[in-house]
Amino acid sequence: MPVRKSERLLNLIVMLLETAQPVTAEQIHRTIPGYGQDSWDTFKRMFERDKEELREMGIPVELTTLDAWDTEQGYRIPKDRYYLPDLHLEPDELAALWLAAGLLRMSDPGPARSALMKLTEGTPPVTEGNLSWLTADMGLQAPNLSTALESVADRKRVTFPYRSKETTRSRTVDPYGLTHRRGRWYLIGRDETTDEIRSFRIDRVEGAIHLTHPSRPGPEFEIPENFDLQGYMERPPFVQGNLPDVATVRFDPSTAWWVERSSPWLRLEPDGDQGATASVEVTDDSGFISWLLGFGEGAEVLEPQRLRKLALKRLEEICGQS
Amino acid sequence: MANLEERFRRLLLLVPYVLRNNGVTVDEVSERFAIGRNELVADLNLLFMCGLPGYGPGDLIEAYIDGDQVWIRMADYFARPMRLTPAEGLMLYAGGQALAAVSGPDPALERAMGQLSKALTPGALERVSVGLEAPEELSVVKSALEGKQRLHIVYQSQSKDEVTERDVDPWALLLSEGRWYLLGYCHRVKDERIFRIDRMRRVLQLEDAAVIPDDFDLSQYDSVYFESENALTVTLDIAPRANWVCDYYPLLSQEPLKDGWIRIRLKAGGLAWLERLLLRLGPEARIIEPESLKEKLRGTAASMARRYASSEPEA
Repeated sequence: MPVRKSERLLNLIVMLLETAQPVTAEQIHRTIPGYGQDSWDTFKRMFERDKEELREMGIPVELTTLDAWDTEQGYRIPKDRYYLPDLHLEPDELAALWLAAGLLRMSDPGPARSALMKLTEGTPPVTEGNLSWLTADMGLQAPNLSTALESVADRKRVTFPYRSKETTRSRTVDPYGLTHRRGRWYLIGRDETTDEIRSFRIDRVEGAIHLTHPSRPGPEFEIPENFDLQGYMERPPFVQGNLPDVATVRFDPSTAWWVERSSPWLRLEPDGDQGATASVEVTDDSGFISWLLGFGEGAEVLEPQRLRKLALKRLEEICGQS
Repeated sequence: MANLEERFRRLLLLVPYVLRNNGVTVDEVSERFAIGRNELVADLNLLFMCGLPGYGPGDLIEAYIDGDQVWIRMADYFARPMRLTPAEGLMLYAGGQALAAVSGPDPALERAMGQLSKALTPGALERVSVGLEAPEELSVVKSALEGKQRLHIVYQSQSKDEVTERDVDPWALLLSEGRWYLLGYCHRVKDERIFRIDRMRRVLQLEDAAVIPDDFDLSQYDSVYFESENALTVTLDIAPRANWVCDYYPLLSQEPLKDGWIRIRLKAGGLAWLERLLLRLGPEARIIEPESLKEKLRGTAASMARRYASSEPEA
């Protein structure tokens, strides 16, 4: 019966929030109505599901040891992680948040509405400006985004089935950051299997992202000090990696203008003709050639000869296709 | 009635609200949470069965409607609101970043974003990058939209690879797939058009007032993919390694072929754009239709190949 479940969840929150000491699973089983009549196994299953549901609603249930010997473990909801700290938002800050939420009217308004409810009791501020002419779609409806951010925020290891090129296989990742590019969200982190930092497109996750230890309190890994999230995503994959070969590329005037805008990771040297040249560190030849040819006749690789030959070979392949 | 989860989430917002505004009217609660009186009564009845372990008269939450007023007692632990969930925080943060890109430096917004990070797990937003472009043309477009004034733009089209000058009455600014677009009436083609802000080589705000249709409704525009006079439909076979194409562009259809290849039908914005996509894909794409596209691509590739055929770059 659905009503029972709401009661059970609410009672679970109250018990875990108000307890002085972490409570054991047995205590929860004995105490909360709606768990009691079932067998221990049924209780465990229900309790696991309830914990997961609370976590999805942003309610952290932590598992901690009750003694020095790790023999007994107990659950609680830490108050400092449950309650919103008092933010003392000024009226103009509130107005800014209302505007920010209003831009995303193309997405599901649920989370924005509940956020404003928590922060401002849902009373819109009186403002002079309205931005009815402005709307933004930032791909926030992607499934798994919430768990992805949770894993990044709390530094929790995750596993997920990921589709790449032809195949889908399970990945285990220590997530370092979450980033939005071109309407899509990427999780950046260290792939446990290859020990390399990689980006994973959230919408290529086939199924769900799972935290490997959802109830364990505290972060599970350190982020390397020299890791630079912004820098990582600005550079295309064919310039990431070791031992780059440096290519010189020339862009004609109309392309140079566009490259300057669209590729902030490249430093352009203007030449006399309003065009420009750039040095590109290439670690993946094929990826580089694709990128270069995508500019059509507007770009030419000048050096090294090896890459010029590769460009020619690719173009001849295109000419030869029937 | 709303589904269980939705209802439970609402309850977690409703209880703190009533606790901090005890005696609030039924109408006000109903309006704020978009529920009817019956739903409110059902929610309050549910609360009545909850409270501290022991569940005796001194432990249970008291929740009732007295006349026209809503009361909740014995639930002090619910009086403070909950922290923001990751989804809530990300939504406001992303919206805030989009707003910042358009409105430029805004101290109130910056302070609000700072406060927002305190409402989430500490450090969470430092590890989020929204990476929105804010081309300088954006501020001119914004100012024209606010002042309802006409714009003059020098536009480098991506679909046709040509530079044109146009007067545009701005109607709206949209962010989609990480790019900013101006939607408006183009006086050159005498029709409604959409322009990428980052493709504007120059933009000027004119003195003339912009004409905005009375019935203009931005919510009708859920996509920036417009029918364009240059649009053409093509059929391509795509190699497994290049199947990202299927995720990136809206397809009319796709069907699997053998060895992991996929046959797709795609509406391309223009020939120039399509040609560049095909040059990028190289042997990982094969043109099925139209025949004329094969000729065109071969011509461009041959012309590019000539430059590389000599071992030295052309002077």
